[in-house]
Amino acid sequence: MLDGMATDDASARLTAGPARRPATAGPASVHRSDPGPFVAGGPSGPGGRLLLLQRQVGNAAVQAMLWPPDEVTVARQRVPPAYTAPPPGSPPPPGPAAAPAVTLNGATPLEQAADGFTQATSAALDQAWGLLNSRAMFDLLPMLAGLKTKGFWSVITADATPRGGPRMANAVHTVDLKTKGSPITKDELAELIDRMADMFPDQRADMLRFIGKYVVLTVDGIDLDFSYVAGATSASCVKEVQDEIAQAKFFIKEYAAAGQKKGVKTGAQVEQAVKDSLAKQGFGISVAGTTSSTGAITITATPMTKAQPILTRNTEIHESVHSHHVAALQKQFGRGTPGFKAAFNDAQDWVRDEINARKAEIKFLTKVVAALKKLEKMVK
Amino acid sequence: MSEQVTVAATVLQIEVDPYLRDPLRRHLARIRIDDVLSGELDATQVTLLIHSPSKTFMDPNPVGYRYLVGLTPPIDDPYTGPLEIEPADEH
Repeated sequence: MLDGMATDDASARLTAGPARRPATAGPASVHRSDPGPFVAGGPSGPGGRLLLLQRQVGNAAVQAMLWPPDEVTVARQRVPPAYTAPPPGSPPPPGPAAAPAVTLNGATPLEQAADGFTQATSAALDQAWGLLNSRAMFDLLPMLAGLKTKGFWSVITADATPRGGPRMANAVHTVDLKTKGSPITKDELAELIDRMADMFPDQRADMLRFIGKYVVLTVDGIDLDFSYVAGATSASCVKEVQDEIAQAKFFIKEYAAAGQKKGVKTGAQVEQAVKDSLAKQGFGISVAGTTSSTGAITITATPMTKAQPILTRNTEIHESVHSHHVAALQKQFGRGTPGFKAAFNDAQDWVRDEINARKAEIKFLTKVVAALKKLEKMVK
Repeated sequence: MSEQVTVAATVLQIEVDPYLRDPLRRHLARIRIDDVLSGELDATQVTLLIHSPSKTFMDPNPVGYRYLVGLTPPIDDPYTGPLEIEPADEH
C-alpha cells in the first residue's frame, strides 16, 4: 500500500508515490491552507489512503511511520471558528449602545478636530476631544497650536481640564506660552516647571522642546532638563538626590557591618542581619499591600514625582551591578551548579556585591547633582 | 503559620517599584502562575517585591523563564514574605 515504506531510506519512509516530498524541499510545515503532502491524489489517491489508514490505526501509529518523527505532528488540525452573522432582525447584542456615528471631515487629525469643534454637537465634540486625547504630547502641542489659530481656543481652554485632565491643561498652558508673542520669562518657566513636576519625563521634554527651552545634560542614560530644577513653588531635585546619596552610604555601612557579624555565612543571613539592624535603629520598613483575593494582580498606575525618573534610573544602575555579577558567577561556575550556588550565597561575596552596587549609585547620583546645579545656573 | 505554597511560575515583567516603598526591595517582579504544585493559591499572577531580580532568581535576566517558587501565606499584593526560588527549566 505504501511502497516507499519498504525501504530503510529515512527520506523515503512515507513517500507513497506522487505524494513524495521532493528531495530538495525544505522542512515540512503545516498551514491551515496547506493540505500537506499526504492528501495528494484526492480521497482515492495515496494521501487519501493515508488518511484512511490514520482513521483505522490511529494517530500514534501513523506518527511512528514518519521520519524524522517530529517533523510533522499527526493530529486533527485546529480549524478556526467560522463567523456566523446573526439573522436579520435580531436584537442588538447586550452592552452599552454604540455611540452615534459622526463623520469629522478633514484629511488630517487637525482638520478633523477643527471640524468637530465647528460642528459643535455633543457627539462631534466627543470625537474632537477623543482625537486630542489620543495624541502623544509631541503631536498634541502643534495640533493645539493649530486649533488656536483656527479660532477654537476659548472652548478648548474651558474644556481642557474636564475633557483631558492635567495633561491637557498643561499642554494648553504650554501652547499659550509658545504663542503669546513675547519671550518666555523666568517666572513663566518656573511656573511651567511646577506644572510638569508630576508628568512623565518624555512629556516634560516634549513641552520644553516645544517652547524652545529644552536644554539637556545626559548622565548615565538619563536626560536631565529644566524640569528637574526648582520651580516657583516646587523644590529642585538636588536635595532628594543628595538624600539618596546619604542613604546609599548608610547601607554600605550596614552591609559591611552585617558581613562582619559572627554566624553570618550566607546572603540570606546578610539580608536578615541588615533588617534586624534597621529594626533596632527604629527604621521600620512598611510595605503598603492589599490582599489579592482574585489573583487579578494589577501594578498600580505609576505615580510620578519630580525626582522619580532619577531615582528609578539609580535603581536600574544598582541592579545592573548585581546582574553583571551574577552573570560572571554563572560564567565562572556554570548555571545552577553547586559551585555557583556556593559562590552566589557566600556572605562576603554578597556584601561585596551590594557595596559595589551602592557605590555605583553614589557615582551616578553625584554626577546627577553636578548636572542639576549646572541646569539651575542656566535657568537663573 | 500557613502551609507553604509551591508553584511553577514564569517571570512576566520586572520593573522598578514606582512607589519605591522599601529601600531594600526596590523591584516588582510579576510572575504568572503556571502550576500550583503544592498548597492552595487562587491566583493566576503574583507580584513580588524584591531587592534584585538577578539575585532573587539567581539569573542575570529572568524575564520569560520558569522557576519553582515557594511562597508563604498570606500572599499579598505585592508579596513580601519569604521566597524560595529554583530554576525550573534550562536556558
